[in-house]
Amino acid sequence: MDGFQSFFQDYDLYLNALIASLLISYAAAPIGVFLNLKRMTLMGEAISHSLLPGFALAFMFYGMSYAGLILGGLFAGVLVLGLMMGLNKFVTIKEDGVLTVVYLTFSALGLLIVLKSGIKIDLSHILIGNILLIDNVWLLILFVSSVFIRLIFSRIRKNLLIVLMDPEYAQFLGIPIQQVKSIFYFLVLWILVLCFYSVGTLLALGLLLVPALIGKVLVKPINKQIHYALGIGVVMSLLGLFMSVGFDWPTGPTIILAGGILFLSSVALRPSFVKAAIVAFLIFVFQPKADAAIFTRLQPKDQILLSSPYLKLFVNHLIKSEDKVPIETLIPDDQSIHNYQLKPSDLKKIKKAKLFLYIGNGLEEGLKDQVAKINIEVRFVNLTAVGKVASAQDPHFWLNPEWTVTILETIKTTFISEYPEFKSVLDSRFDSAKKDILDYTKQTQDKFRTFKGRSVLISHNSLYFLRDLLGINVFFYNQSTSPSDVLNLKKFLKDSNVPLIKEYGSVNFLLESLVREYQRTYSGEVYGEVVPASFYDSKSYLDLLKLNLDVIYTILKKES
Amino acid sequence: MSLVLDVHNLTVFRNNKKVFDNFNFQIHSGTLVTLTGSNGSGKSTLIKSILGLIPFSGHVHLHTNEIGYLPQSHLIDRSFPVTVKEFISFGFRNKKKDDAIVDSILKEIAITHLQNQLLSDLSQGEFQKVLLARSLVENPKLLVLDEPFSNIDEKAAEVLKDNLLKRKNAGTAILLSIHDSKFVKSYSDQIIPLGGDNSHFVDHCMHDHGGN
Repeated sequence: MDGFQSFFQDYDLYLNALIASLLISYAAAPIGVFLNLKRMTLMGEAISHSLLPGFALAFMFYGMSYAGLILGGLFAGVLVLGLMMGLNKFVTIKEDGVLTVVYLTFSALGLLIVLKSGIKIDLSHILIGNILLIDNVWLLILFVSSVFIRLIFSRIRKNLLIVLMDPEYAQFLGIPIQQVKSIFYFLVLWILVLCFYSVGTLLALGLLLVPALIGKVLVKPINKQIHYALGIGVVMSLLGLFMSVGFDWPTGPTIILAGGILFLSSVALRPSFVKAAIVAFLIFVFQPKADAAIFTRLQPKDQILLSSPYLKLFVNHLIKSEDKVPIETLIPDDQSIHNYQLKPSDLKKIKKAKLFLYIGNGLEEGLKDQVAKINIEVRFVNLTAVGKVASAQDPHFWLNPEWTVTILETIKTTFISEYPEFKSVLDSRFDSAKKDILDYTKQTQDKFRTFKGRSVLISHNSLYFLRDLLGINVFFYNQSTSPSDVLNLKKFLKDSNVPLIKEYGSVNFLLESLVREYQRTYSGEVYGEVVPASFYDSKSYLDLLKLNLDVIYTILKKES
Repeated sequence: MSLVLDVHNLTVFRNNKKVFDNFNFQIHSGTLVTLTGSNGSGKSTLIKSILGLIPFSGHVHLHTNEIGYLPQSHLIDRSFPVTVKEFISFGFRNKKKDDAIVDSILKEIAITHLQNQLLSDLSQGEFQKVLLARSLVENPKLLVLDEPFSNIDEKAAEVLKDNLLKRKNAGTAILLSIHDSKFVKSYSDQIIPLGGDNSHFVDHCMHDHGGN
C-alpha cells in the first residue's frame, strides 16, 4: 500500500491535477447535463474525435505548445461544426448522420497525419493525455476558460433550454436558434479541448458526460443535476487519482474507470447510499493526518535518470554495480520506449533526478518535455545529438557499433562532469570498451565475407546497420501496412532461400499471418531495440552485438 | 370590435407544393375563428405563416404585437426535467419574467397544484392546460392555438373551452385549429374549413354567435 501512502506524502505532486479536475468539473457540469438532456452524446463524441487532426498538426509544428494545441483543436472543431451545419442544408438525412460522416472523416485524417509523420508525433500524448503534467500555466488557462464557459453558458442557458425542448416555440419567441446552438456547440468544443490535456481525446468525453449521467441517475431537476455533476466530477477525478497513485496506473484512464465505478454504484445502489459513500470518501481523503508524514519533502536531487532501460546496456560498459552510482530508469524494463505514459511513481523518480540521459532522435521527445515540466532543474543529455545526418537514413542508427562508441563517449564525458574523481577509471573503461567494440566489428566483417551475396529477412528494422556492416543483403519488414511494403514482404517470404529471422519483441499481426500463409518458420531470433529484462543487469551492448551476429552467422552457415 | 389580424392574398409552399393560393381572412377582437380540416389540410401551415415561422408571399397584417401561441403538444420534448412553473415562464416574449403573473395564471387555469411537477409527470389534459397557461402570460390580444383539444378527455376540454370563452368575452381575438369543428361550433364566430378543393378558400362567415 506504498502508493496510497504516497498520495498523502507527496500530495504536492498531485495538487495541480486536483485543482485541474475541480476547474474542469466546474465548467463541464452544465454542458454535460445539457448534452444529456437532448441525448446529444454523439455530438460530443463527434467533436472530441474530430479534434485529432487539429492537435496532430499543431503538435507537429509547434510541439506541446499550449497556444498551438488550443488553437489547433478549436480550429478543427469549428471546421467540423461548420461543415456539419453547412451540409445539413443540402442533404435530407438526419443531423447526426451528417455528423457521423464528417467526424469519421476527420478522425481518419488525424490518424493519417499521425501515421504519415512517423515518430515525430507521440500519439499517446494526444490520445491519452496526462493530468499529472498539468503546470501552473495550464491551470491558469483552465481557470480563465472555465469562468468564461460558465459565464457564457449562463447567458444562453434559458434560451438553449427552450431551443432544445421546444424549437418551434423558440422560433416564435424570436430566439436566434442557430446562434444559440452554435454557441453551445462551441462551448462543448472548448471543454473538450480543455479535457484533452488531462485525459486525451479518447477519453475527454468521459470527464464531460460521465458525471452528468450519474447526476441524471441520482436527481431530476436540471439545477440539481448540474450541482451533482460538479460534485461527482470532482469525486471521480479524486478517486481516479487516488487509485492511480495507489496502484501506479496511468492516471487518465484510471479517472474514467473511477467514473464507471461510480456510475455502476449509482445505478445499483440507493442514491442516499451513494451520497453517503461520496461524503465518507471525501472525509477520508481530506482528513488532516496527525503524523508529519504529509509534509515529508522529497529527497535531494542526486539521481541519474535514464530514459530507456536500453541505455543500461551502454552504461554497463562504463559503470559497474560496485561503483554505487545512483542510476534509475524511467521506462520499465518490459515496456517499449514508444508511446510511454508517465505513471504516478515516475513523478518521484523525475523529481529526484539531476541528470536525464535520453536517446533523442525523436524517440522520447515527448517524454523529455514531460520531464522538463516536472523538474526544471534537471540537466538533459541527448545522446544522439551529433547524429542528425545518420538518423535521416536509419532511425535506429544509434545501434550501429560505430555510433555506439560516440554515444559511450558522451556518457563518459557526462559522468566525468558529475564525478570528476572517477575520471581516470571512466577514461580507461571507455578506451577498452571502444577497442573491444571496434575490434569485434572488424573481425566480424572478415568472418562474414564468405557470405557475400546472401540474403536474410528480419521481422523489424532496428538492426538496419547490419546491411552495411555485414556486406550481405539484409531485408527488414518495417511494420508498415502500406501496399508497397506489404508487396515487398510477400516477395521475400515466398523465397524460401531467404532465411527469416525474428527480432525480439516485434509482434505484428500482418507479418504473423503471412508467415503462416507461406508456411515459413523463423530460423532464429535477434535483439533490436527491445531485449529481455534479464539482460539489463548483466549484459553490455557488445554482448548483445555478439549474440546477434552469432545467430545470423550460424543461420547462414547452416543453410549454405 | 377592432381588426386584429388581416390576411391578404396569402400564398404558401411546403415541400414544393402549393398549400395556399391567394388566401384571405380577418380576425377581430373578441371573436373566435376556427380552422378545421383533416391532417395535412394546412391548419398548422396557416398558423405558422401568420406567426412568421415559415416563409410565405402575400400580406399578413398583425395589428398587435401581443400574441399568445399554443403549439401542437407533440412538438415539445417533455422528457426535459422542467417544472410546470418554469415552463410557463418561458411564455414571456416582450415583457420581463414575472412570478406574480405566472401565479395568477396558474390560479386562473386552476393548475396551481401542479406548479412544481415535472412536465413528464403530467397527463395530456394537464399538459394542454399548462400550454394554454404559457400562451396567456402576457395577456395577449391575439391568441393562436394549434390543436389545443387533441388527445384530451372531455372534462379537460371543457375547462379549456371555458377559459377560452372567458378570454374571448374579455376582448381577446382567438384563432384555433381543430380536427373536428363539432366541439367548438356553437362558440365560433367563423369556421374556416381547410383542405381538399377549399385550399384557396375565401372569407366565409358561417356563424355569428356572441361576437357583439
